[in-house]
Amino acid sequence: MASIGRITTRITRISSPHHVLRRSILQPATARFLTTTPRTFHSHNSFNDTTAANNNNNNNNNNKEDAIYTVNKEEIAKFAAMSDEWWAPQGPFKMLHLMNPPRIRYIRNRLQASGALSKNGAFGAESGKEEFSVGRFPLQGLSILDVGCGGGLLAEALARLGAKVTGLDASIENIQMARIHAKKDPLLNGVSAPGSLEYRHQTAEQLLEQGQQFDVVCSMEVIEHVENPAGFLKVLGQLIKPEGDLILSTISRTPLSYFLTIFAAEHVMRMVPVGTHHWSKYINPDELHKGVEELSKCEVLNIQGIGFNPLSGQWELTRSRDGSGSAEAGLLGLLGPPLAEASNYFLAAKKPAAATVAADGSS
Amino acid sequence: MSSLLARAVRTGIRNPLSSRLHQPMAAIRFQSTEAKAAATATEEYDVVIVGGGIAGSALACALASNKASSTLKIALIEAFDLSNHIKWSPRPDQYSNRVSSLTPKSVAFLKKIGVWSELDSSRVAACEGMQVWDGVSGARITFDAADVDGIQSSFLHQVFSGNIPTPPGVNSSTNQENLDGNKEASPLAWMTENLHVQYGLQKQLVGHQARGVKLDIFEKTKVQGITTEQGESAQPQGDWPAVQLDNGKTLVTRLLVGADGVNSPVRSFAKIESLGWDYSQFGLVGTLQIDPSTSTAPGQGKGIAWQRFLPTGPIAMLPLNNGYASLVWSTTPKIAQDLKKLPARDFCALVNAAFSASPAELEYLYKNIGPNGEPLVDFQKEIEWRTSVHDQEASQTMIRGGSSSQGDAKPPRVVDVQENSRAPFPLRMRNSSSYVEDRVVLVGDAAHTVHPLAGQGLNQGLADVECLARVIETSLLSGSDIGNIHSLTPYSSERFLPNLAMLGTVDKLSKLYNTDFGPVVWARSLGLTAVDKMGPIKNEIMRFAMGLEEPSKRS
Ligand SMILES: Cc1cc2nc3c(=O)[nH]c(=O)nc-3n(C[C@H](O)[C@H](O)[C@H](O)COP(=O)(O)OP(=O)(O)OC[C@H]3O[C@@H](n4cnc5c(N)ncnc54)[C@H](O)[C@@H]3O)c2cc1C
Repeated sequence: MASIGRITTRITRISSPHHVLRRSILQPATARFLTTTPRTFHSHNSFNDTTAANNNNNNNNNNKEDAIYTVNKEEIAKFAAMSDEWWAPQGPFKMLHLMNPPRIRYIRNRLQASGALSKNGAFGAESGKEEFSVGRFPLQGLSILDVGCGGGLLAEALARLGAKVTGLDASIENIQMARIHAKKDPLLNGVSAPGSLEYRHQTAEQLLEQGQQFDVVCSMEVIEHVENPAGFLKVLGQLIKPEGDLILSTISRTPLSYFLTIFAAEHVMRMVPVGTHHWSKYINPDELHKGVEELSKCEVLNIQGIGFNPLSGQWELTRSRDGSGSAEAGLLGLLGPPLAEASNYFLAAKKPAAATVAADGSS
Repeated sequence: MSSLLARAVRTGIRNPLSSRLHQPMAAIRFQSTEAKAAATATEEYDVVIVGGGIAGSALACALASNKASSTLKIALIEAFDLSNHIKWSPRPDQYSNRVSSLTPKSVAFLKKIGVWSELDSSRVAACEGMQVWDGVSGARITFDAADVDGIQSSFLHQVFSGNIPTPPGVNSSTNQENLDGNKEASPLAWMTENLHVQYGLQKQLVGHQARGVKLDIFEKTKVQGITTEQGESAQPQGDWPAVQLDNGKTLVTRLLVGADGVNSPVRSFAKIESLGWDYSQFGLVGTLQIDPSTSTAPGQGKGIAWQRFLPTGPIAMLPLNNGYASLVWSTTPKIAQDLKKLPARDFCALVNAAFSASPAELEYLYKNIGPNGEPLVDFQKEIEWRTSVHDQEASQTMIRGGSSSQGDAKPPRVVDVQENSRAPFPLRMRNSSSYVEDRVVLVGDAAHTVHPLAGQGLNQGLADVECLARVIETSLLSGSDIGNIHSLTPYSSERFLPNLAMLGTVDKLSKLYNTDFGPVVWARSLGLTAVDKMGPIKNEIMRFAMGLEEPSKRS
């Protein structure tokens, strides 16, 4: 098993965009870490996996972040307060909260289209035509990896829909917040509902080294924050099972996206913390398309934009390149590409069957 | 538990005779009670509905009848006996005094959740027409089911429609079928007893339980307190409301629904302000026996609702089957109490007078009710004499009621009033400052209470319930936490404005008609007469009142 101590040498540091802000808040607390008696923090039922033991071992090394699982009472309170803030409906992350339902809709629609749902027997035969089945746990039977899970917004929703979700984040603060929050919902405890949720403070490579693969890998608004996007896309591709699905979302590098995500959202409206985004790291749909095909070795099936409609106060999907997805779109559904993808957008891709991967492996 | 709460709970229960007027809406504090929680048995729910009135029961039914939301664990709590409703087997010659008019939209919803087919069609009366007139000026407006233009999208539609798309699988098309399933022009409304609707609801609920829906009904059980535990000893679900019942149980819930009526304890818990006022009016209800042959309206007035605005408030007679009608007489508290005590014969005479005599004559008659409800003059004789004089003068003094083809049709004569059916209810107007809080949502009278003059209170409540059930389904399908305020906001944005508009309109009507001050009477007469002549506007009013204005569907 990979040592978490090597974390900083990794090419991809994956964490939610809000990592930066959170870190600065946490500094004083982290400093207090080692001066108080360590206490075991039973955060989640999936918690007592091998990483826990690993971290206890690492408790005396110099990387304070590694002492994740032995935190004192004050720390718990601190994380809980942060978690409360992160999850506060009207808090600084409100826009992200509002974005979650359309994200889930996109994922469901794409998984439906790619056959991932019927493959897993989650849908009855009658639902084949319906874009939206009325089943309560449509993702049941799917293993989903959420890379850069942040406070767990997407991961929780996927688990509530029945998936076996692994949330990954390189920020220990995010992982702790996510764990604390997940405990609040009995639907996520893996007992009273089919879905389950496990959070890991790990990088994607570390997970890969453990030989894990998933039916679906998603990573929402993360790639524009990683240091080596190419390496990141490669690792994501390897984490997907043959015939599995990849779902990404990110922001285009356009004047519009600069205006919306940095000028308006950060500086004028203060909807998200200043410093959240770096425009130069934004990736255009065609670049991502190419990257996913060449590096993740997946076939791109769909690209679709999403925008915030200030009139409805909701995020809405725009019309996708293949014309699909406009069924549930609101006003913004009138926008077609390229304007539709000029800011935030999604990409869905599918990994070929095992034989094809091997054949292409050399390219 | 605070004693304030106890009072809120007590007064929340139907208490028709309560003369207590508008309680100051001071927020009732519900402190965290860690000590209390320890001793009691705690159970977890997805949805706890406080109040098993029609709104609360209909919500339970709507959730249980939907594929996605029927997987939820639901509790319904009601202070009164609910299972009794299932045993309801009324005599054909007896009608409960609480009758409501259900709009086509409400009926479509009741059909969707399987309730309508449970009802006995012989106890549902179609209302095909409405005669509304001004007691002071005589100006009149008539509404006819045949007038309603069912296709046109309209201005009011734009104004009142919400912006929430109807999710797939939810069929919200307005149902134009009548009770027997025949496609024809929809009546304006259907009249039936609240108990009858409750009967259908409870039957469905029991059916859902039998097929395995996790629905727990706590009847004859009162909510004693609601808390959220915070701080040190907080449970993992610390921010979930914990509902303490008087049977010792505590229910912890993801989403708490206040369907608990005008004095909603849930609303107090959520510290949601309720704004509004009490009309210094009571609504006296009663079951009347009528002689249809005395009505001059076409078809002996079958299926016609009659409403006359008097300076003391409107009086309305709603059609039931078999020569019965339901009365809602809004008037001063004193007159309402007096009317309740009058002997049946004199009471009927006074009801007949209220539909025909002048306000001055009525004043005279009210004054002749003795302290124990005994008539001080022979009401029947007085009225017969006055009516004959009145009829002769009528044609000269009345401002004619426009082009109505029926002319000024006369309502049928009231010949009897069912024993013990007279009961006064205080009338009020309330709107909550908000319908949602994190993990709390209000529906029905808990959210808003309206003057009954337009017969809309229950219909608004059913529209709330239909919307909330749809919103809950949508959040379930997107994996959201159904108690989260973001999940609930679409409900409040869809319902708040239409309810407020309805409250405002009805309130203005009631104020407008609560006077005999000359210029106002003149203006409103012009208004009624003018509206009666203006097809499109009248059409709008009717469509709105019938609940035909629906949220626009985005495709
Ligand atoms: C005279 C009159 C005539 C009307 N006519 C019409 C009409 O023609 N058409 C129309 O649409 N509307 C009409 N209405 C309005 C209509 O009756 C109400 O809007 C409707 O009944 C409200 O239903 P509800 O379920 O929201 O509230 P309620 O019927 O008030 O139900 C609330 C329930 O909550 C329960 N409860 C409260 N507190 C607690 C507690 N602490 N613990 C447990 N249970 C509790 C109560 O027991 C009660 O059963 C009329 C109203 C009046 C007064």
